[in-house]
Amino acid sequence: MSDLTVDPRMLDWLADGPTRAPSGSFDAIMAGVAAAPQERAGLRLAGRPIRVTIPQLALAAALVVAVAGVGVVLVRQPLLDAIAGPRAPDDLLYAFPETRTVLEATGGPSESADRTTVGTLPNEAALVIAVDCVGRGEVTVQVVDPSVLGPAEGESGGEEPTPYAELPVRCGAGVATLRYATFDAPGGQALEVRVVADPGTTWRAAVGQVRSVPGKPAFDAVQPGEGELLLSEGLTSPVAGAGWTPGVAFDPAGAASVTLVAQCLGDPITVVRDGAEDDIAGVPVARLSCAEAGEPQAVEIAVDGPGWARATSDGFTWVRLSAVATPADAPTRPQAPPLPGGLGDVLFAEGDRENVAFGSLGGNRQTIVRLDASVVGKAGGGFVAIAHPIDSGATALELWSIADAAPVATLAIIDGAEVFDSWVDATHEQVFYGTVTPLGVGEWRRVALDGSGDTLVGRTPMGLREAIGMLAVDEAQFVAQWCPLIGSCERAIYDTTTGDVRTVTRADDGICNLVGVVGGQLIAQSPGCDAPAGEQRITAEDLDDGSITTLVEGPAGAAVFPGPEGPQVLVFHPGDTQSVVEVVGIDGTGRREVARIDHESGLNPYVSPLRLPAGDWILLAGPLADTPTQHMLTPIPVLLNVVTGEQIALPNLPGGE
Amino acid sequence: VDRSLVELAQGGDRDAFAGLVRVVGDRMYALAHRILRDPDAAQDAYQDAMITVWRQLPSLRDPDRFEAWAHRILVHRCYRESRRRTRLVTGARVEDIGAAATDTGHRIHDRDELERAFRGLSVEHRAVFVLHHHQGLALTEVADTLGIPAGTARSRLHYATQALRRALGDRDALPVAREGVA
Repeated sequence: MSDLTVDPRMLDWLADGPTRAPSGSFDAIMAGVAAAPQERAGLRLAGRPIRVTIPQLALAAALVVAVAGVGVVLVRQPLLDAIAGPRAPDDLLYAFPETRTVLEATGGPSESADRTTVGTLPNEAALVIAVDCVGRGEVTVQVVDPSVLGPAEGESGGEEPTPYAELPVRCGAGVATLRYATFDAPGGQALEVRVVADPGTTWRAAVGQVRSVPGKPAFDAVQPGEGELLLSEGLTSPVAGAGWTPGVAFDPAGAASVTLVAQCLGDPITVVRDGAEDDIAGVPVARLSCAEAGEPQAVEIAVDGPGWARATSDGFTWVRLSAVATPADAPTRPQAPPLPGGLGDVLFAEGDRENVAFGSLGGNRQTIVRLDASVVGKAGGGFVAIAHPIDSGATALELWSIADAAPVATLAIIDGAEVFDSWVDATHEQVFYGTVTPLGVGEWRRVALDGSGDTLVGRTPMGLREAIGMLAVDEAQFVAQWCPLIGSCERAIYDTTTGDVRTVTRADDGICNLVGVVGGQLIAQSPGCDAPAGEQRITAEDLDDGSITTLVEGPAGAAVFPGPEGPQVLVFHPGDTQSVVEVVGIDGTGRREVARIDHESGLNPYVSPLRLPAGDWILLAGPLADTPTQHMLTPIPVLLNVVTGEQIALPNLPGGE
Repeated sequence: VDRSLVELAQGGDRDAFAGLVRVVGDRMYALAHRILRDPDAAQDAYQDAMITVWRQLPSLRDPDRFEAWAHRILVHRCYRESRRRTRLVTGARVEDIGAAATDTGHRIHDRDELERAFRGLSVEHRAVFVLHHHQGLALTEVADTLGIPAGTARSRLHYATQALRRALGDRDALPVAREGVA
């Protein structure tokens, strides 16, 4: 019999993690949806699927062929503007003098459901499709891609092309129109207009092409104002009538106001934002003229939660929407309690790859800077190195002032490799950074704070079993080590004072996690990650002679911190109902228990990598960044005194949501 | 999930589909993240799955089963994403390990062990564990969602549970064959 009993710690661990999708995902999905046709399982009328078997479809097709001669079907080739006179009142496109007719057709009445191809739409065109019908029932005009038949899985076997847009028309209700644009058609393929008619209906359809439409503009990048945050930047999309466009999604958490910035060119638009849950059409919030190419126009919207906005056009318009937030004047989080020993002034910088948050441990406001695809390194001395792609396709590694939330120097421009981490050595005014190429060759380098003296610390071969780099807690060395798939493991040790590098071949000593480097010792969880619990231990390896000292036997978590009497190792021993917190010297001496924490009290399980001043306090915290996408179910940050066991909760920082 | 939204989206209404994404998106991403344990992989799987959901939505017979059906697509995208990234190990290894240096190096308590043990499971075992314990699905529902026999779902859950119990130091949680205990 299987034992499926789970430990509550498993469930706690499983519950931890993000609860919200990244902010860019919605736009990415809807952009994909805009380009992706649905795979049709069968005919569909009035929004309800009608399941049709293959024999039924074959019969229907035969009937369509059989009745084709009953009605008159006329498909006209495009007319030249030069010979197109004024439209007659009975012209389907009479209300659209700006168009020229490019397709026309009539059909019916037929004895059964009738499907007629009106013609192929011109590419790169803004179009008005008009249809009228008489009789009992309705007709549906569709824009379809004849090359995409769906579905791959389904009952009908995929005989029918997929509508990109469709408009059902109740006969006798007058001329109905559908605007459609063939700019940015997926794959540039030819799209067709079809009319699906109920039995007994007689219909006529016409397609008009707008004579003059602007080409796709290159709108200038939106530049948020001082102190503003760019929440989302949409795509430049062709908007035809009320047709669907991706628009822009935003999450205004912590914002005093959110402003939509519309850049548009063409006919006037209406900006629509999401309404109530069942109001999927949205609520109009502004009408904008788009006569001036790309001139940013601001629309302030209420900040009542995450939402979206899109645009509809009176005719045809190129539109890009972006969302910019102004941080709330009043902090949205409580003030921090009084913090000892200057801890409140400790600065941090964290990123979520879209935004970078700059703040302090004692502050309840953070400065958020939008920086796409950014990698934020380990801070030191009030500075942090941030890597992000630049226009050339290369990666810029910049030194940022955390207090100013602004770059102060360019450290390096890296081509053909990504920066995966960096470490600021404030003591020696230098930065270490790691890169990896698409072929998996890793490098660790050193550069001065002014960008000079960029030198190699260590380079791996291709094909690695493990690789890791770390700046010592006391900033005395930078250590990088790796094991190739074939060959010996190596370690490069950079002396941060002299700049000397020595590379040593080492035994594959089976480290699972590198806890820290301090005092010439490499503190690790050993041996490899697959080791049984009984073999696990915390070890200290001498960087000079490779001798290994066991600090703590058994499975435990560990972290190195700059204790009041020099660097020490904090060890957590997990138990069923409580965990024991110990401190031990890096030479294995002075081991003592500092706290027992009941699991019921909601122990915060993370030691923050944020470096604190040497002293009795460590920070237990998950992500500190208050960025729009950083919604984690981590407990509220806590400062723990490793001498007294005292804890200070920090409600001014994210956590506990 | 509002049935009318599903029906409208089945009819090609992209606004309705956008509404569906808003309703289920966070849950879908959270599910992918817990299976894959990697935000980038989870985001790719989630986005890919939602576009597939859109494309195949007309083939969904019962709109009331939309979310379970979408979960099935998502889990299969997670399988694919997991294997795709496994094949790219030489390109990602250093970055992964670089990130791990700061993450697991500072994580404490038994979460380290749970994370390591969970990452050691196949993605199929992870999916069963997450659907059962995070999404709250009964084993029969897990089996239905994944399109596998109930016995297989049970054996995968047993294996995953044992692996995580061992990670927490439970010596009674003995290793078992991956598909061997039902």
